[in-house]
Order: sequence, then structure tokens, then C-alpha cells
Amino acid sequence: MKDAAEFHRRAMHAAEVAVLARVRGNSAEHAARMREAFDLERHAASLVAGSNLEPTRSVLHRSAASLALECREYREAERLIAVGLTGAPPNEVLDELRNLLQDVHFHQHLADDGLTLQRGEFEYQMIGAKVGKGIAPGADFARRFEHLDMLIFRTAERKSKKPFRTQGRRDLALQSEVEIFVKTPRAASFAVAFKIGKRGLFNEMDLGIDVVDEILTCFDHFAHDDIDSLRTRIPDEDYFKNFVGLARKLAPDGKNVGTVGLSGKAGTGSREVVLKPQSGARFEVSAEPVSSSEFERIEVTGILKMADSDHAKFGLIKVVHDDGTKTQFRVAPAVMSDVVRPYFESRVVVKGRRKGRHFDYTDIQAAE
Amino acid sequence: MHGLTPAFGEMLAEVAAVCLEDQLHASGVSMRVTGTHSLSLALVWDPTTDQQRRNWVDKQDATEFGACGCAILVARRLTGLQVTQQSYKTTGFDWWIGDESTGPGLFQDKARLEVSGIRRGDESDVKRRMTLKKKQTTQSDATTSLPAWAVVVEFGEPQTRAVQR
Repeated sequence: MKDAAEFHRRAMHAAEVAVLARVRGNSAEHAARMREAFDLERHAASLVAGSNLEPTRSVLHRSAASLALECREYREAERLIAVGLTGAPPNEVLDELRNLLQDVHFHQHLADDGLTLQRGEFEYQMIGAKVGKGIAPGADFARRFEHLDMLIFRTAERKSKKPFRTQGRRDLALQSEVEIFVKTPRAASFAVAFKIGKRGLFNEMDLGIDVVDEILTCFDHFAHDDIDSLRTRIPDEDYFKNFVGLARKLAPDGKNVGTVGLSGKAGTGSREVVLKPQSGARFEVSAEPVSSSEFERIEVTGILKMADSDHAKFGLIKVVHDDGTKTQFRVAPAVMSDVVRPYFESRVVVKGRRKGRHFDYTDIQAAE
Repeated sequence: MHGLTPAFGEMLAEVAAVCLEDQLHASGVSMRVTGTHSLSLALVWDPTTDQQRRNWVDKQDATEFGACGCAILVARRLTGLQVTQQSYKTTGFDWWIGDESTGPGLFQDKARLEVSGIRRGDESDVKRRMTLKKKQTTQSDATTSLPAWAVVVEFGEPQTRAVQR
């Protein structure tokens, strides 16, 4: 144990130096120190691999596997996690090891050279309990695809400086500019690549490239809960709410889907965004801004029976409960058509805020 | 502190100062602490330099590291315990607090310090983040749960919510 403690101490010191180097912008030093930390921590873990001393054993393996992931040593990370999972880790560490394994597989698939993304293309990948290798629940994927299509088109409208469209059909000319081509779904956990651009053109797809850049940048802010940067990026309130509403639908639900990844060519380099169930937790869409002390949070389940978007300030939906009673919610017009309408006539769980006799919608999902 | 090198401790203090000054606070500002304990703490630091501020343009990184700097000090004030160990996670370091005595293993008899940072938010943001933190750390059977402190630091007011599980 004394040896393991000494190797671990040296590993953490090297990791600290690596983080400091990254902060100071020295990427070569960062990579070298991370590698040193990984080698030392892997050795520390190997010294306790045969013991039943928990949580030391499992924490050291999780720590070494995390460092392996930093060093893009995916196979080694997988092996360390596997060793960590044996024995009797505390439940928290068990959960962390499982989540880490998902992350390792996600990055491993991104590193695979089975698909080379070009500018104007991006990939949407799902990993989770009900997502198998190349297989995803059909209804879940269909709805996500629908929301992704809406998000792409809304982004194209915004980038084309069009006012937010609360009703009416899509502009056909713009539609042809950002038509989506789905490339062959590939076995990752479940991954689909999209190409955005004019039919028949294989270069000079300027708007498509812009849209992909914009989507990846906005999702990056969303994943990091960075409201200020996203608001700067999307100053129009309706477009902002629309993006947040759709991003929530594309993020993992934590049940069927545990991780969502978006990757593509943005600017001059590649970009990867990883969404977890807690991503974007600070973002909320409601019809009326209300200060925190003035409302209570509510959640109701039932059939989404009626959607009315005629009101200029907000739309109205009704949720019919099993006993026939109804709850009416006010909905921000920016999310009425794209986010709420696809659930019409389905059994749903609606989350919201209650202030006096008013209920304001904040989120919706399909009921189990 | 046993589990923290002076260089890294200095970095955490530096970035906490950058986050506080970004929210227009000056050295001496009071931080409200709620949760398991209620108190107010005065935060004192040396003014930051342009170079230090330029180092921390990535708000996400800065907020998380700055929150760690504050949380480690708040935890020491509330519990009398220090950071004695750390391990590595993909999101950064995982801090463990305890006394200096060395037990049979590295992490035995230690409590985890789960830290989260918010650059600017209101009471509801802090409570929501705490709920998420608690959910993350209480999914498990209580009999096999690790002892933990969940700490959310918000730099706008500034305030800290610290809850023991």
C-alpha cells in the first residue's frame, strides 16, 4: 500500500502540472505530463488490483482509466475499467466506472476511421441502456431526427437573418439550400452522419457549412451550461428559446439514452460535443419570466389533447389526466410548433412552473 | 494541505479571484454560506493581473476551478477537515477530505468533496445545481454510499451552498 500511495502521489502531482500547463497554453507539456500521470497511476492501480481494499482499489482504477482517456489510450482505459468493475466497489464508483466506459466507447468510435466527415457534415451519436450496436429504439430515434431537422432549419433561417417564423411553411428556396442527406448509419452505439447542402453539389455549400459550425458551437455552449455565451450567439429571444427547447429534446434522457455526441468539421478544425443528461440544466424555456421565489415547480402526466397557438404572446396546451381533469399550460410561441406539437395526442409528462392560477410550460417528454 | 501542492493551490486561489473580480467583487467581500451550516465568510485576495485574467478566458474551466478553490476552504472551515487525497476524473480532480492520519488505504475514512460552480445565477440555479449534485451522489444504496459533501459555489452574489450527505 505504501508503494501504491507513493506512485499515486507522484501521478497526481504530474496531473496537476499537466493541468497547469494546459491553463498556461503549453499543450506539449500538458500531453507529456498527462502521459506521465497515466503511467504512474496505472502502476499504482496495478499494485492494489489483487486486494479487496475499497474504495482505494476501484478509485485508483477509475482515476487511471480517466487519465488513459485523456491520453487517448482507449483500449487501456477499457481494461482498467474492467478490472475496477470487478470486486466490490462502492455504488457511486461503480456508476462512475460504467459512465466512464460509455465515454471511452464514445471516443473510441469517434476515433474510428470508418467515416471521414467533411465540412458541412456532422454526426449525431447516441449511447445508452436501450441503444445497441447499430440499433436504437425506432420511435425515439424518429422523434430525435424530427427535432434535429427542425433545429437545422431554424439555424439556417437565423443565419439567413430571417425573422423567427411562428407559423407558415418553410421557405422552399432556403429548404433546398440546407437539404439534409443522411449518410449510412454506422454501428457505433447508434450513429448517423448528416450532410447539409444543395442537392447535387459537392462543394461550395456555404450555408450548410455555416449551419454545421453554428450548431456545434451552440451545442458546446449548451453542454457547458454557458448561458452568457449562448445568449451572445443567439441574441433573438425566440430563436434562443427555440434552440434551447430543441437542444433539450436532442440531449440524453438519462433512461434510454445516456450520452449523445455531436461531431463535425467546424471552422478549420474538428469539434466534438458530448451531452450528458445533466447538460444544459441551467437553461429553461417558459412563456413568462418569473423570479425564483414566485413559483412552484410542477410535473403532470396525461394526454396532450389540444394545442392552440393563436394567442400572440403565448400558446396554450392542455394535458388531460387519467381521471379526466385537465391542466392548461402557457407555452412560449418559440417552442410551440417545433418542440410541443410533435407530441400532440400522445401520453406525455409536462414540467412547468405554477404561479397563482397560471401554469407555465418548461419541458415535455413522452410518458413511459 | 497534504493532498494539494502549493502551485496547484495557488492556481485555484488565482482563478477564484478572477471569477470574483469578473463579477465586480473586491477583496473583503462577504460570501454567504447556506446548507448544513449558515454563516458568512470574508474572502480576501490579492488583485488579479491582466495576464492572470487572460489565462482564464475559458469561463467553464475558470468557474469550475474557482469553485474548487472556494469549496476546499469552505469545507475546511465547516468540517475542520482538509483535502488529503485527490484522484482524477474526466472532468478534473476528485477531492477527498479527511484528517491527516494514514489509514489502511488511500481513500478509507475520507469523505468526497463534490464541487460545482456557477459564474452568475440566482437562488433557484444554486438549488437546482445542488439537487443535481445530490442526485448524482445518492443514486446508490445508502449502506454502501461513500460519505460526501456536495458544495455549489456561485460567484455573482457570492454564495456557497454546502450539504453533507
